[in-house]
Amino acid sequence: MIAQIIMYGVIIGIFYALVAVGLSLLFGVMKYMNIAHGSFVVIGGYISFWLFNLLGIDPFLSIPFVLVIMFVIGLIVYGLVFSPLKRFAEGQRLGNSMLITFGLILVLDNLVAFLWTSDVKTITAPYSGQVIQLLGIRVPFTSLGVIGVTFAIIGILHLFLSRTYIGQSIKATAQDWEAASLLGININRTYLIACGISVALAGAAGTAVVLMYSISPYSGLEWMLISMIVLVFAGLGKIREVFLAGLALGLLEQLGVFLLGGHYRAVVGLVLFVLILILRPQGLFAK
Amino acid sequence: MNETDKSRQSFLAYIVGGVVVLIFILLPVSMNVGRYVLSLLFTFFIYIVLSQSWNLVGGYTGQFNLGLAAYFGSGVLSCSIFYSSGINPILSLLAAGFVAIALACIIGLPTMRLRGVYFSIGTLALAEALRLTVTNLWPTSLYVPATHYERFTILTNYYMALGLAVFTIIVVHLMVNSRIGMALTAIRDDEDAAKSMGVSPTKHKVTVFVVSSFLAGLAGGVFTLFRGVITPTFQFTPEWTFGPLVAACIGGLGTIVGPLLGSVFFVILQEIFSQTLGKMHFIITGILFILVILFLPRGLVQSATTIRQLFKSKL
Amino acid sequence: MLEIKDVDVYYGDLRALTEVSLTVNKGEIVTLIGSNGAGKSTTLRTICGFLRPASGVVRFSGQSLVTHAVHRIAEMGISMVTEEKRVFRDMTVFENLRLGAFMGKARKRKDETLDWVYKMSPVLQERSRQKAGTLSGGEQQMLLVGRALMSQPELLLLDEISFGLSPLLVKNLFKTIKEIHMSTGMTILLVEQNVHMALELADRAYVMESGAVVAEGQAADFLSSKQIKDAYFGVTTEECR
Repeated sequence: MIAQIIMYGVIIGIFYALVAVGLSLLFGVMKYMNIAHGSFVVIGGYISFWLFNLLGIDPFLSIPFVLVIMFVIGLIVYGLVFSPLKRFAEGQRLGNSMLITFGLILVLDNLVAFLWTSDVKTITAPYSGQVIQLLGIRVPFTSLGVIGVTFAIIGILHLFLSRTYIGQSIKATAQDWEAASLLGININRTYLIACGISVALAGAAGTAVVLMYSISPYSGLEWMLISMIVLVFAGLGKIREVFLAGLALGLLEQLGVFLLGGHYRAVVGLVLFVLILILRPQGLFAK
Repeated sequence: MNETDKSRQSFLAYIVGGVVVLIFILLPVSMNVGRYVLSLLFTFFIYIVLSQSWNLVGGYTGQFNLGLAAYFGSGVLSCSIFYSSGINPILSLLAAGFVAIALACIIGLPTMRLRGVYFSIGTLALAEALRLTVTNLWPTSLYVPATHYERFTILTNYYMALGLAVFTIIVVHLMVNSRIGMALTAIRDDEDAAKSMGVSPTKHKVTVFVVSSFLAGLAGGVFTLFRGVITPTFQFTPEWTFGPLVAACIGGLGTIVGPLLGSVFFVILQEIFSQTLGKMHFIITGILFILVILFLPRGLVQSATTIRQLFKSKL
Repeated sequence: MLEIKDVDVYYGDLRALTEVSLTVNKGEIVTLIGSNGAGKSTTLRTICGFLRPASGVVRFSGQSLVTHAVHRIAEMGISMVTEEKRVFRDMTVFENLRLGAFMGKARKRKDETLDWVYKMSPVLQERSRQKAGTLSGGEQQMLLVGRALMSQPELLLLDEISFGLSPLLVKNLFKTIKEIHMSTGMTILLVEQNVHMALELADRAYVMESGAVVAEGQAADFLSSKQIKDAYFGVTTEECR
């Protein structure tokens, strides 16, 4: 029993890290809170769904397409929504970013409902029902695939941020945008790229969601809250700690399910979240 | 603006407010307005209460409460439960307000220690936790006693909502113009500076938070008496936070007129578009909301002031 | 090379600079001295593009700077070392230096420049794999100078780089600056609290007071001027001891 809690906790935890990593990147670099993050997760899921249903592209293989499409959407969102926020004094930007992305939820969720109806959608790939025995526990094949994808994406993100000049300029801007701009780094371009990557990562998480669970137009809030919890566990804007934070949330949730039953899965996370907010606002893993 | 100007202006505001209330009181008895208009106005009044309630915390303390739905929903749910267990409906309604206060004290007060973005996501998370719990505990619809429909006509509900809206405006007006209001403005502008001047931010924030929750709870009670049959989970959805928030922001944060104006705007917009576009109206509302935040950060009220000043400078 | 003429700068309604004019010629070391709040750092931040002058001219190699963004001005060959220790704390010393050579033309020659910076300050090479946040105050300041040099600037702005350092470290830092100037002939504009050190290093000096330039002249003349001594040395030399 304990082995099962740990196994599922780890799987779901790693998946949660994928859901949250984009939001963490955006907050870390721009200090904006994107409440519509979950809506982008849902849109990514829909793109995978349609690529699978219309063109027969396997959801795992559709991830590169999803990343590219969502990256472009991210660029547009930056231009239309985040870029005008610079009009405000620095102290007001964070609050206003929340209000504006909140308005964005209304727009995106209802646009999705309008385009693709409110039906719940999921992908049934040929391997969807298959399970693999791992340490005596039956694990769905898709979950393992999602974990592989998560490792790949977070690994590539890490390499990009630490090895390329653009990645390094994003990291530098996150730490001190004034110092970065003195080195000739175009801050606006850095923000633009970071926003694109953030939304692209949300989209990839959406593919995982539609594979492991299902999506519907108004389910974005659920994924946003999970990202938010992971973000606060990790400490706001800390990208590296997201992995550990995701694992922590996954394990604690599974423990909650074991003790209270499946209906209270999300409640456990949310209550823990508020406790952490109050007791350790700098995050669980911050030094 | 000097003192006499100010008092003359507020005197004018009282007169205008009184006349508007009088019109709303006389409207159903003098004209045959029909059920549709009355329920539309009912929605409007509820929105006034909720957006004033949201604005009290969001506008005057600068803390964006994203969990208002929890207090409204608990008002709806508790009123329904008390009523159906045989308690007098008016007492149930009042009890709903106090349940909301209790809720604010139990789950709301811890979040008052949080600042800014942490407060917002904390309140949102708690509201969601509550919604999921309520959905688990009361998955089906709840009914009021059958005698309800003999005692409450649409007209009774209309006057109750109107009464609550007027009550809310008076409460908010008194609070904002008291020492609490001044302290709140100081806290919003610079919490640390206010602290050093001996103003206790936590005490004042808690006071407005409790009042705000009380009003939202009462709105929930009135809503129950209007609907009769309620499905608890629907009354806890974030839409009940978002609507009032949008109304307050579009109208103008930190003013009393703002949420009134915003509610008119929001309810009319919702009505027009939901007749023609269905849920699509949220797309337009959302875009409008974003534009207002970006280009009219102090809402429609601000633009009115700007226009008036423009006229004055021309004259 | 750098020409500032009649520049007015405001912080909101507050006037921070009043008709400031100064020039820095190619190959010179020029210093701005004056008490706290005299507008020295404001002048540097205006050159870099963080602040926009309400009126006046800022020209570099004949080109006007006032409409350009900060990163564009950096691309034109101006680099600034700031007064706070603003290293990228979560990045290694090497990564900090590499980012210094972010811009196109500096990037091509970054290996050479890196060797040169390491030779100038061997401690940076020793610590190259360490996180910049773990360095001591003096090492961080040296890293900031090194990072600025990595961009191969034509004009180097130094904003109170001795702030918070022990006298010995300040001495070493100034020695390094002098070596840099000797070996490359780099043009330097220096803002300093430590007036004595600054005047010994500089060719020319400007004195600022409440947002305006009140005197200018050869650094050597100021060093022997009784007035300047009374006004500024009293405090700073005491502090140095």
